[in-house]
Amino acid sequence: MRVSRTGPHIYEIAREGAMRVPGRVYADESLFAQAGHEEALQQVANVATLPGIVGASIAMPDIHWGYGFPIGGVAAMDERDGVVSPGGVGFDINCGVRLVRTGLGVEEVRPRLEALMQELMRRVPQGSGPHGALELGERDLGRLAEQGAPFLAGRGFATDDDLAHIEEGGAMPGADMAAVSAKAVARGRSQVGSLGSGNHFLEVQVVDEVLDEPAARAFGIAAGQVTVMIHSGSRGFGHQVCTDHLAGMASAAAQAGIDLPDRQLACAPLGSAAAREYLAAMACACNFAFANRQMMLHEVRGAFEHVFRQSWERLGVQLVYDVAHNIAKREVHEVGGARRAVWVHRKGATRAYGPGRPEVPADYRAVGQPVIIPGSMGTESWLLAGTDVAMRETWGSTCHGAGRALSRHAAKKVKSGADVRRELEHGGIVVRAGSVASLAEEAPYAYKDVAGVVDVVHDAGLSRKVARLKPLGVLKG
Amino acid sequence: MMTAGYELVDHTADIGVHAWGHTREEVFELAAEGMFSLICDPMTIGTTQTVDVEVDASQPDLLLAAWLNELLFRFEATRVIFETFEVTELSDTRLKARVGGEPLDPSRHAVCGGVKAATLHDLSLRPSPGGWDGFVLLDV
Repeated sequence: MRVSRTGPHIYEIAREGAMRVPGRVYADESLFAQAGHEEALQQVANVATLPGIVGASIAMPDIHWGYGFPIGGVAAMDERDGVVSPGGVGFDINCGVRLVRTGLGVEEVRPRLEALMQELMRRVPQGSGPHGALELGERDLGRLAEQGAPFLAGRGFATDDDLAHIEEGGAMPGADMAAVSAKAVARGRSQVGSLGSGNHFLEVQVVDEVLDEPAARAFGIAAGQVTVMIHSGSRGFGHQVCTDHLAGMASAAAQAGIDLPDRQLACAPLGSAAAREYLAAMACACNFAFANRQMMLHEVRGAFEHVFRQSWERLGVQLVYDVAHNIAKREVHEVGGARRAVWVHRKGATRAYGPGRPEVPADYRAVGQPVIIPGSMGTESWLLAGTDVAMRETWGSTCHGAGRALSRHAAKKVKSGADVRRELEHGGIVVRAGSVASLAEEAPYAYKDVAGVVDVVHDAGLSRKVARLKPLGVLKG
Repeated sequence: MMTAGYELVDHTADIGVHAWGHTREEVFELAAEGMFSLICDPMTIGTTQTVDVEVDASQPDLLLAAWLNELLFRFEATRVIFETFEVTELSDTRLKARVGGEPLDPSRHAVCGGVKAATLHDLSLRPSPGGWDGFVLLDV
């Protein structure tokens, strides 16, 4: 593999063998060296072999070894001769983050933080496969998956203002339950409004520092304000959709004569029946995830009302934004001066549209789309804004988080879950977890330094720092 | 190395299950044991009910992934956590098995994590000097 540094924050992997385009990794020296220790760079090169890939196989500074695509991978496939790959989306379809602001300051929340975390734990189920806040019959689950978050507005669990501040309005076009198996329905029907396990979390945070006043003002964010971050995805519904369609994709790729370097890159030509069915089912899973996070926002509002004895409207518990970081979407971008329709795969990467784009909510359009970067547990998270540079260089995309540095097993060898909890609490953070053992796997030192990742995307111009958020309370799956 | 067993293999973001045995059946059974050990401490699970499972796939190694995915589906859809796995019929493309477990009860069962799916990345099932050897990377 021939790698050259082509800019202060860009490494290029030269085209060779079956690669149709070069690879391009956004990183500084230290993050690039970390990526080089594992198979992640080979995975960037593997993605570059997929038919119809345009420009480059891109990776963000939080890149790490995944299956199929690397985590942190971005690739755009030409609509006419490209492919869609479930491996470019992942099993947790539309895993994403939403940021919620409140009208409360840290000094008002801290005295009631224990009670608030307890109430959040009671209302937002966490862990492997528990029942969510909303139990649905099969037909209603189908409606929710076809309509997305707007389905919940009809039930009083979402407002028009909420919907205006979700990527895609919380409703992916093309969702069709005819492409979704009965198994996915069986897994998903009791999971709407649940956090799940692994790296998913719900945090009560405080705005620690504002770095871009005009953007922060547009997003309704100020220093000292309390926010809530929700990180979750499409639960068993989405996992089953990916599992179901991956099997068919392997034979679709073989039929189309596509030689795959990794079977998890199984794909189908856009426009083929296999691709159409996957995309219809993927859209359902995306909608499930948007609705899942919306339902958790409803429960967060209930928890604040319960603890602070006022309506959530008076407490100002409002959605800032909700972004996906595991998704494939048809988008129109400028390529060589012409507008071109491509399917952008973001696998552990976030859309980061710049100012002026119609897809950005009207109240944020002057400053760019909010980008929410969850940090590792107990450290810090970031609110960024999308830029024109991202539109030109990365299909309007940026990083999605810190990225793992240690495997779960290696992290558990450093400290026990109980020790990690003690340390977090020593730092003044209230911790609630479905499984204390899982705390060790998600300990802060298991991840790369999120500040380093954010520095790279800021310095490379892919997004702008707006505010840093520090945790007050953590609810883990 | 013991003649039959499983081990969990480190991977940055995910976890691999490596299983080996005298027969392919054993590899399938041990891979399932390995996967469920990630969800719940097997020492805390008993068997109060058994279920018959049937899985099809186009190739033997894809059958291994499909088997694990079928068990994950059953666990999430029925909330029954499994501890015994007996493959009763196995060809290159079809598996029949009887699995045993009991309804998940968080007050008794030490749930330690979740598994999203068995992936196809580095998936393998092949003959080894002592019998058969399989590897599946799990998205956790």
